[in-house]
Amino acid sequence: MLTRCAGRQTLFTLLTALTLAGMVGCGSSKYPVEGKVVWSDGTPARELAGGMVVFESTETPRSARGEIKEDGSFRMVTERPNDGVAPGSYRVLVIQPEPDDSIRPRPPLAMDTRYSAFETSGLTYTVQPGKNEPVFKVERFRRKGR
Amino acid sequence: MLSREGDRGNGISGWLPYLSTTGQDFVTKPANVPGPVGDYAVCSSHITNPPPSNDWRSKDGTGAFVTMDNPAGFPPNDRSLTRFENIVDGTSNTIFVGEKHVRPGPQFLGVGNGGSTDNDNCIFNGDQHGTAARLAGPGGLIAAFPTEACNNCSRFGSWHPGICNFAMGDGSVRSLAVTIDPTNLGALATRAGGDIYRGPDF
Repeated sequence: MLTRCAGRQTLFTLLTALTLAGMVGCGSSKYPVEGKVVWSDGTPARELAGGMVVFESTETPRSARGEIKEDGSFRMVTERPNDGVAPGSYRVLVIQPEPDDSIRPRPPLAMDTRYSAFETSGLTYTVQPGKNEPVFKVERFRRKGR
Repeated sequence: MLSREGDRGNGISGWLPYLSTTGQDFVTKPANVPGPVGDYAVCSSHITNPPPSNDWRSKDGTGAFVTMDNPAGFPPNDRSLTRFENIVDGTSNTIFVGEKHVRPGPQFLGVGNGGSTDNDNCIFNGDQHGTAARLAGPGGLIAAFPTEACNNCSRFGSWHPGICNFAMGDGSVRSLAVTIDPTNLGALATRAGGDIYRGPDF
């Protein structure tokens, strides 16, 4: 009787251990990242609506993305709707919206293109467990010579 | 190839777009050519704003397929500007064709450049970048899931959960994770970026 009980306990412990190991093995949990993109004067970057914020992990070959909304806000996702982002440090890009292909000549860009390449963007963010609310400040597009 | 017809699951009507069986009428859509939407597109660039013209569809495109040499003019000259010898990164390291991000729902099928919000068109519009080309890299992550919003969409994407399939220049096929980092994705997209893919496939 005692042996059977102990056996059950061992089984329970084993199952619990396996479950926990499985949860850890499935990768780190993700946390909400909801922020906004603003111009250098602090006003919401409404002109970037339809564009994207891109995160690239500095630790693993992973990315996350968030569509910029009408008010300059965005919510990052990794691979499922509203799944959030794994904790860690990220290099950040802001991609401007694509203009309609039928518009010729193409309309001027809203934002300085340096935020669309990692070499020049300079934006970074560290995702931490819990709520994350980044604000990314970007410059408007300026023609050369001004 | 023509699997993403408007009447999903109604097989033959995708091949014969005028014989719609569910009332889906492509003829009334603002597509330049009525007909089914294609699943695949070539890769034109790895960034949206390549200098100097800031237009990935133009001759500044960094991918294997660049067909437009007149960014200011309309219609474009749709002759190829790249040859095999231009693919310096190697054909096995360069994306030729990939699955397009096509959102589910009739409003996203067969509509395109003519003032719509989704850069897609019937597959027979091979001369239009919005239909035939996509970009992959910092300027265009692989869509994470089929319903992901994509304004004037120029991104690859798949309905396969978690992955998207690409045909490389040497004929091999790679399944890339949708979460792939933009640097590695861009390395695969450029034809002569001098960059090497360093990530796992998925």
